[in-house]
Amino acid sequence: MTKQQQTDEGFDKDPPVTGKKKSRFKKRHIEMIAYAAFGVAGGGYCYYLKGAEGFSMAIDVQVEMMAGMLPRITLAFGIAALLWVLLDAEKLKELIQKQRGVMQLVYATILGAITPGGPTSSFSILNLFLASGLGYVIGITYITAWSMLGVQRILIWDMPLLGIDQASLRFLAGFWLPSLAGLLAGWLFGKQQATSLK
Amino acid sequence: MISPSLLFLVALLFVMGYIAGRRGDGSIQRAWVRFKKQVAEFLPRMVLVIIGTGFLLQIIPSELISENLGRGAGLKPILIGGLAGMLVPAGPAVAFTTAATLAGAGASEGALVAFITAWCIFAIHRILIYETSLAGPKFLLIRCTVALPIPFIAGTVAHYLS
Repeated sequence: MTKQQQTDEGFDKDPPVTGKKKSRFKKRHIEMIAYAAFGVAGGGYCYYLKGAEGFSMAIDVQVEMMAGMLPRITLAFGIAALLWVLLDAEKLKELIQKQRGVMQLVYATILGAITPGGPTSSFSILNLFLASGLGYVIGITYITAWSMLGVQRILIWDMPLLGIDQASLRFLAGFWLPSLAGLLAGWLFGKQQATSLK
Repeated sequence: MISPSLLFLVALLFVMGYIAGRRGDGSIQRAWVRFKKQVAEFLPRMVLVIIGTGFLLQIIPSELISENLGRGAGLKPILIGGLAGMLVPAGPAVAFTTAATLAGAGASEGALVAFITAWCIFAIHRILIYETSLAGPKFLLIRCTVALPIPFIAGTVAHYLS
């Protein structure tokens, strides 16, 4: 991954491929207004339904949630930012190409899980895999691992919001599934093997 | 509120910060810029979503959640969780706070795993905005076909593991 890609890409939200800064700014504002409207509507309905007591209970829950989540989320953002600068996806890609058999699936899963950045970076790596003849088995394993096991997502969202136990459970229940998806893709679509995404 | 997860995050931050600092190539500075950008982008949304979630927890009858998504409902919550996760047309702030709300209202671990896994793989907004242009329809179709059972398998495994 080049420095340019690292500078331009986000963790869970990459800039739109053809979008402009102005439209992103506008979109962000619309999103914030929608979230605020959700809060105001929720508050109004809560007051209507449960009265002042229910409303005040909701405020208590919000304060408790914020006190619990915000320090964790702030820490997780710091960790994710460090992960983003420390990982060298290019070296890891070379590593996967040296592996054979099951180990290739294992490496594709690990690489997918630790690939920082959003869809732009992961899909450009996927394109490299397909172009170098690694095929659907590895390509699908990699991209499925990126989407469902992304370390940055686990750190920023799973752990702070759902706790370590639930995050570990999701990881344990699913770490082997990207390989299964890859093998299934090879079995079902192997004959239509592609060397590029389009 | 100091908990093991908080201590783990603090330790991880220090270890990674130390490794980045030892590089001496401006990694720390780049990470700091990245950190500020992410906080500015996501933290205000998180605060607003938490406010909405707090009200939602009061409005949604917890009996309804535990009846349909609780452990006592068997494997049905996994099906509901997986299908609901596929249909959430929003980013991680909404998906994960919804999951936290459901968890608070008594949803089972398996349902939450199915919900989050389905959202991670099939996030509709990501598919529409990015993947159709980055991957093309053929690859997208293959990816979605083979990944379709994954949220339900993950949810079922989590149900039996928990």
